[in-house]
Amino acid sequence: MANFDVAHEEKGEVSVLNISGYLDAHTAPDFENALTKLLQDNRFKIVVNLQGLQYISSAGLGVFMGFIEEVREKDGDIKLSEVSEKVFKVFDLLGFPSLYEFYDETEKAVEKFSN
Amino acid sequence: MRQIPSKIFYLLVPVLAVGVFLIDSFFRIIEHFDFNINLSFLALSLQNVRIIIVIALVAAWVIIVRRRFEISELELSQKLWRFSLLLFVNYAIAYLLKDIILADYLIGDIDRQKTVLEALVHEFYKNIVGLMTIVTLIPILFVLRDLIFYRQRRTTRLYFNLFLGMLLISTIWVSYTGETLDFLSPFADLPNAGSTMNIILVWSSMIVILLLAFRNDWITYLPRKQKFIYFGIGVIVYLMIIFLRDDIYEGYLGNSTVAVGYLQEYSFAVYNFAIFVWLLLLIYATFSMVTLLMHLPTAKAVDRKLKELTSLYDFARLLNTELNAEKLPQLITQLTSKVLESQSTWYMEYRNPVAPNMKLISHINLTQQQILDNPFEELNGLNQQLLDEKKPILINDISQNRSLRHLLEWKKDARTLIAAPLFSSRDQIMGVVYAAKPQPFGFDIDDLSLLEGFANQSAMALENAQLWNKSLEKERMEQELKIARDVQLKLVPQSMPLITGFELESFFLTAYEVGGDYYDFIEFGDEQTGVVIGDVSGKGTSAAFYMAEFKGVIQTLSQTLNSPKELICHANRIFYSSIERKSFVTAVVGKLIPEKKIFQFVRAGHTPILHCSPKNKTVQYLQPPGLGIGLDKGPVFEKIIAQESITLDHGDFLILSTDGLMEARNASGDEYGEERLQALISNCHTYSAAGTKDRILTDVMDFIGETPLHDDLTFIVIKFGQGIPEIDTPAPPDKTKKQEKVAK
Repeated sequence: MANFDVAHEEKGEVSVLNISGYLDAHTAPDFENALTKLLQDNRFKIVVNLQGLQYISSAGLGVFMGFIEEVREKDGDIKLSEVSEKVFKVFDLLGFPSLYEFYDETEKAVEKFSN
Repeated sequence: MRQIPSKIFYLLVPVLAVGVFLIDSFFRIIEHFDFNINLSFLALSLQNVRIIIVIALVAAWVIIVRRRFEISELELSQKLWRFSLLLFVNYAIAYLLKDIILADYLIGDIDRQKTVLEALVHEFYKNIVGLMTIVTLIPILFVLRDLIFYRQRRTTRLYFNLFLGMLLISTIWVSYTGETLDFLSPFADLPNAGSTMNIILVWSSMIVILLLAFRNDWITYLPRKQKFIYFGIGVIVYLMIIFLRDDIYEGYLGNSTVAVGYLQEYSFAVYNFAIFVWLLLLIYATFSMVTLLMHLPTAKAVDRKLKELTSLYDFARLLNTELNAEKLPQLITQLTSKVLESQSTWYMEYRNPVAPNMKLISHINLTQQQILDNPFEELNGLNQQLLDEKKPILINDISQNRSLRHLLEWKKDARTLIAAPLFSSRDQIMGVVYAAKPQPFGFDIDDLSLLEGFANQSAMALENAQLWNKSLEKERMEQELKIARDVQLKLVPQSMPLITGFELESFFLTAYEVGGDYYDFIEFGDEQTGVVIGDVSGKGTSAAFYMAEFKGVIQTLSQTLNSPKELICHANRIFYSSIERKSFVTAVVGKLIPEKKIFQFVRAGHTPILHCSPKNKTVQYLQPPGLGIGLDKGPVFEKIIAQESITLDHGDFLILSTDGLMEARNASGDEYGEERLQALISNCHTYSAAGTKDRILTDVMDFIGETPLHDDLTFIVIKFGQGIPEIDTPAPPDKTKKQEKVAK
C-alpha cells in the first residue's frame, strides 16, 4: 500500500496542509496529529490540499469531522482544494460538499479566508 | 531347576550340612574307639558321598542366593553394608564358638584330643567353619561382582567370567591332585613346591584378579561425606579381610603358630575356593582403599561439580514446571540461595515504564530496611556493568573495592557479592540476580559459572511463562471475539421476509471477526416492510458497537414512523448526539409498497442503489442527495436529504450494497467497481434473486481471488415480479401474518 504524507505550509494566517497518498485507518492518525498541532498553535484557518490524495476511507473522512466543530467555534474553517475526481466522488457520496467548501485551486481557498 | 520351589533348597542346605557332620562324626567315633573292623570299602564310598553332599550344599546355596537375595536390586550403600556384615558374621561366630562356648573342649591337634567329646567338638567346629564359609563367601562374591560391574566396560564381564572359570578349574585341579595352590614357589625355594600347572593356574588367575581390582568406579561418584565414612569403615573391613584367612580358614588357635586347617580338613575344594575368593577380596579391597584414599583430597571438588550438575538440572526442571510469571522470581532466589549457599539473595527486575530502572521483586534474607534502601534500583554502577558486559560478576571483598565500598553501609554482612544478568532470547535485559555472603572470598570461580547457568535457565523460564501468559490472553481474546461475532451474526436477519411480488436475498460477511456493516428488514408504522442497509465508518470492534446501536435506533423508530425520510432524519438526530465525532454511518432506507409497485427510498451518504430494468433495458445507479448520519446535528442533513420513489416493473432488480462490494480489491489493488457490477446485472434479468446473488458473489470472489477481504461485504438483492417467490428458508410466523395482511 502506498504511503501517506502531510506537508505543512504557512500562507499568512492560513495554514495549508498538502496531503498525499492513501488516507485510511492506518494513516489517519498522521493526519490527525498534523491537525491537532495546528489547533494547538491556534491556527484555525486551514486549507487541506488534496491534490496528491489517491484514496480516502471512512476513517480518513472521519478525521475532517473530528476537527470541524472546534475549528468553526473558533471562527476558523477547514476548506478543501484540488481534489481529484475519483476522491471527490467519495466526498460527494457522503454529502461532504454540503458541509465543506471545495475549491479547484488552493490559492482561491486561501483568498476566501481573507475576504 | 526353575520349577523347583526355593523352600526345597532352604530345607536341603541344613539337611546336607547335618549329613556331612554325621558322616564326619561317624568316622571319628569309629577311629576313636578303634573298632577293629575293615571299613576300607565303606569308608571310600562314604567319602565319595560326602564330597557329593558338599558340592550339592554349595550348589543349593548358590541357587538360594541367586533366587532370593536380590543383591543387584540393592543400593550401593546397602551392598557394602551386607558385604561388611557377612564378613563380620565369620568373626562373630568363630569368636563365640572358639573362644567362649567351646573354648575348653576345642583342641586343634587331633592327636591331643583325648575324649569323644573333644573329638566331636573338633568335628563340629570344623563343620561350622566349612558351612559358614560357604554361606558367607558366596553372597560376598555376588556383592563383589556387582561392585565390579558398577560401570561396566566391554571387558569387565569377560574378566569376571574368566575369573570364575579359573576358580572352577583350580578347584577341580586341587581336588583331583591334592596339591594346595602355590603362590610362592616362583619367588622362594619351598620344600613342597607346586607343579607347573599349579603355578600357571595361580598366576594367570592373579593377572585376572589384578585386572578386576581396577574396576572400582563406584568410588568416584560417592559424595564427599560418604567417601570419608566408607574410608573409616573400610579400614575395619579391610582388616577383617586380611585376617579372614588366618583366623577363619586356616584356624590358628590362641597363640599357636601352627594352623589347624579346619577348612582344609572340611573340604579341600571349598578351602581352595575360599582362598581364591579371599585373594580377589584382598586385592580388590586393597585397590579400593587406595582409590578411596586418593579420592579424599579431591572429594570436595568432585562433590561440587556433581552438585552443580544436579542442581543445574533440578533448577531447569523446577523452573520449567512453573508457568506462573509471578511466582518465578521467588523460585529463582530460593533455588539460587540454596545452591550457592548464599546468606542473602535478591532478584531485581528490569522495568521500562518511562525511565529504565530495576525493581526488587523477590529476596531471601533482606531486612525491611534493606529492601527500602536497596541501592540497586538505578541503572548505574554494578547494574550498568552487568548490562554492558552481559556476564556475571564476582566481587571477592567489597571492603577492598573503592567504588563499591559504600554498599557495606547498606548491608554490613554482604562482603562477597556475586551477580548475573538475565537476558532474554532476543537479547533483552530481563533482570539481575544477586547473592551475597558475610565473609570475604565467600564465592569462587565455580560459583560464578554456576550462577551464569542459573541466570540463563531463569531467563528462559521467565520468557516461557510470559509467552504462556500471552498465549492464554490471546486465546481468551479470540474466544471473546468469537462470542462477539456470534452475537453480531444474530443482529442481522436470520431469514427473508415474505412479501407478495418481491423476491429478497441477502449476503453478509465481515472482513474481521466483527464488522460495521448492517442490513435489516423493518416494519413501518403503517405495517409496510422496509429494508435498511448501513455501513459504520471504521472497522472492527468500535464499528460493531455502533452497528448494534444503529439497529436499535432504526428498529425503535420504524414502529412509529411511516416514511424512510422521517426515519433517517430522526435517526440522525439521535445518532449525532451519541456517536464519536469522527465516526458516522451511511445508510439506505427503503420502503416496499407492493400495492403501488413502488420502492420509496432515501440515501444517507451511502453507496448508490443499482436499478436494473429489463423493460427499459437500463441498468443505472440511483443516487439522490443525502448526507452521512452523524455528520451534522440535523438542519443541514434534513435540508439535503431527498426521498425518491421509483415505480417497479415486472422483472426489475434492485441491488443495495455497502462499499465493500464496489471496493473489493484483487491482488494488484484494483477495485471491483461500479461498472463491473453494472455489466453483470444487465445480463442477468432472467435469473431469480437467489441466482443473481450467487452470480454477484461468484464474480466478486473470482475477481479478488486469494486476496483476503479488507472490508465487510454486504448486499441485498430485491427482484420485483409476479407470483409468490420461491423461498428456501421457512418464514417465521409473524412474517407470515404480514404476508396475509399484504395480500389483503
